[in-house]
Amino acid sequence: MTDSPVRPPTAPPLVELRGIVKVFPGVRANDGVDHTNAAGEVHGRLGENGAGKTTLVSILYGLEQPDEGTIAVNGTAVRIESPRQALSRGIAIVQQHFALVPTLTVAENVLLGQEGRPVFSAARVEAAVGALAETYGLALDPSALVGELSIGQRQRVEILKCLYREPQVVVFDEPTTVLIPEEIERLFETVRTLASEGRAVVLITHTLDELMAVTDRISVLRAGRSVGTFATAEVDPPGLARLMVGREVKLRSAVVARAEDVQLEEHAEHEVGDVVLDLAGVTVLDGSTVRLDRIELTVRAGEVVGLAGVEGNGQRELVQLMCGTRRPTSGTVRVGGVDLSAAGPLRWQAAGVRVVTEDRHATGLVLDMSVGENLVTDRIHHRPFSRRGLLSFGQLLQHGRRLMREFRVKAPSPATPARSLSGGNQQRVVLARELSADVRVLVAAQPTRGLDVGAIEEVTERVVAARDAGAAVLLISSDLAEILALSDRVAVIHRGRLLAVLAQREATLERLGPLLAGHVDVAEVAS
Amino acid sequence: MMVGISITAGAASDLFASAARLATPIGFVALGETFGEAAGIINIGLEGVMLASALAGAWAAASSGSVLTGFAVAMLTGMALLGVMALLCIGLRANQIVVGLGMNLVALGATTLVFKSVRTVALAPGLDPLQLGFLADIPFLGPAFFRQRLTFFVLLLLTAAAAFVLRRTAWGLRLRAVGETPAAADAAGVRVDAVRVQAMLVCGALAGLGGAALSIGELRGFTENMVAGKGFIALAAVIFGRWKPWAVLAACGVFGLADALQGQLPAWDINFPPSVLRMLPYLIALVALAVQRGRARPPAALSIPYERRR
Ligand SMILES: Nc1ncnc2c1ncn2[C@@H]1O[C@H](COP(=O)(O)OP(=O)(O)OP(=O)(O)O)[C@@H](O)[C@H]1O
Ligand SMILES: [Mg+2]
Repeated sequence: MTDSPVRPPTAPPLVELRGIVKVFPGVRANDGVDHTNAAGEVHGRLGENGAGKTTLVSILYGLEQPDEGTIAVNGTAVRIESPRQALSRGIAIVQQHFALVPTLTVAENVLLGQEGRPVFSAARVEAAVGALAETYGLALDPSALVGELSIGQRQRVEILKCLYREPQVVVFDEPTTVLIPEEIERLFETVRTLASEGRAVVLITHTLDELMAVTDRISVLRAGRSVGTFATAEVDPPGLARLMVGREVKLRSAVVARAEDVQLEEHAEHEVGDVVLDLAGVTVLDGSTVRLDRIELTVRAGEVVGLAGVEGNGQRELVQLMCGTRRPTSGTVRVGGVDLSAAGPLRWQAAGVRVVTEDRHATGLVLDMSVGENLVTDRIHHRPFSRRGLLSFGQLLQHGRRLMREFRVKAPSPATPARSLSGGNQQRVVLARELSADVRVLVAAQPTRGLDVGAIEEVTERVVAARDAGAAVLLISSDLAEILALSDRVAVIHRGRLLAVLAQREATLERLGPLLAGHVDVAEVAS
Repeated sequence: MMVGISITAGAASDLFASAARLATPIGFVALGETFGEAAGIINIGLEGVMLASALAGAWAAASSGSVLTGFAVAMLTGMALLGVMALLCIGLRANQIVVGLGMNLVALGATTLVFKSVRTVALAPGLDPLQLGFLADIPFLGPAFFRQRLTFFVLLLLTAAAAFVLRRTAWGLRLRAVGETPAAADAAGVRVDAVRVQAMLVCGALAGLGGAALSIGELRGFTENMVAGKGFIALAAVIFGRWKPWAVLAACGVFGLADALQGQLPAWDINFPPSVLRMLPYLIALVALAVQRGRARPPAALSIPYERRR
């Protein structure tokens, strides 16, 4: 940031939370947390998965009630009992998990709760929402149904919805995880504009560079307690990571991956075997829309192939294909030489294909079941979890406890409902289930989305371990740093077509950037 | 097929006329349920609500001598009953299916009891069919659709109004949001419970009108269990019509046609066991629901009470 906010010393902070305590069964999610935001200030919030960041802002937004502590807005003590009350006090939030109505259009979602007049004209609202989207550089079709949008597009709708309310206090809970770099840049411009207009902004993110770039102050939470609040100018990323996790963390960033001569240790010599996963001429149509267009791709045992691309370019359909929940319109998919094009989910699993899907809420977890149950949804029919059709709860708990320990899932017990876990811990449950099975092919879509820096390091190690154990790994990610750090070969997907498959040495940011945007030379396709 | 041979245009026109007449009471109830379900509330108790308001309406009309009073009382009865259901389903988060079942059982018992002690409602005043000027003289269409009772035309107006309200008004938008993703509506500042209660009251008012359309408009009185499954048919019509007012009305028309056919076949000398004929509308409802393609998806939060949590 350029200069720190100027305000008379007597002006009360725009928002002030004091001594917030929130206890959930088995966890003190917030344990005496303070938070102040002056007008014009961007206050960053950092902390491990499950540290209590979302809980804190949920209390501010009236989604949760604190057990102790006070909230003051503009110097006046207030009680915020519902989002409605929060909104009426000028507080708006972009939640970590979407709160959108899939059967309504983008414009209707933005308008909802804020209609102004009793009767509206779809055309007029769409025009207004379209104009607002344009102002903030959020590419969106206001008349599109939200249910048909990609995750990245939905995130933009959430941001738009929040800004439409012209809030005084704006909370962003991990807004950037599903956005592409240009969008993140635009969002930060917006954040700066909001601050310069005298609004208060709270920004939660796991990306340290983002915090450094846009905040005035940063507060660190660890296990529900405040570790401290620092002026951004006085801290650096490694220091922040240490404060947050309590140990040294190896940070991965695009800057490291860019230096071509750096031999990342993830790439250390390893054996590459036969082709295991083989997609030949795979086309997927949705009515007349082409989702995947004649995909040719192989992954060998002991190899990581990274599939780079902006989300919504066919990745979801590719994942569905390998879950067995969608069939190719034409072409074949083979695993170990066996044609699985027409196979259902059970046969895909039996073939050793494990999939970490990109949307943990929609396809990764059954939110209302317990963590322990979620950890066995794929193997519930087998021993030792079920015998002659009867479940063994003892086994289920024991298995749950073991995996929770091994994958460091932070939850009171395997009986805790998956819904009540923090976002990052939900992701760990998915990873624990998929990686603890026999893995022949690992399809990992956005596996580190929403994870803290320490957890990203762990996942990286686990993917490398699976690879070294001979698994064929297809890593689908929109995060280039992640792709470059792990992949032996990099494929780029755009509008359902593979634009290039590059060896690790050839895959540089300079080469990949234009490809991601769909710019391709004739020479590239030929290779 | 088997009927094709001897049907004249006049007979077909008669058939459609009685289909529209028979569909009218169902149409009101189904329209009400469209609002309820759009907001995520399923009302298995429509049959009971319809029955109770049919009796209340007939009684009020008979004792006041005024058809309008009869309709007003029926409407208020429907709203009161739905108010009670709202108290249970929304206030106490009770299971909607159980509450609905209870409503049917209580209404059947209570109306029978009341009816046995007041008998007189068998002589309620009624509505006569209208003659809509030159429209009534259009060949085929005139006799079929423009010599109906006032209730039929009111239903058409209300259907148009419902389509408009659901699509184009802020309240309709909130209603749809609350039925689909109440958590999202809540986060957007919508009072989920309030909107649901409002939808239930609208459902009650329309179900009450449906009951009165049957007892006052159609049969001029009340008989024991006179609704005879029409409330359930209305429930099926909402699904068959994919939660869209005009399509729901059309679905009611199909069921009305089946009902009308049951009356007409003997007149055409086509002899079928009457018990089989009486099943016809229900059979059609079953078949219609079974063959309906998977694309029609009910509101996602249908029948699920909402509580704020992550
Ligand atoms: N509704 C709930 N019921 C029970 N426990 C909960 C509930 N909500 C949160 N928790 C617990 O509170 C703790 C803090 O969760 P919170 O979501 O605030 O973490 P977070 O800092 O946002 O983490 P992440 O970075 O993973 O999103 C976690 O241990 C979580 O399991
Ligand atoms: Mg969180």
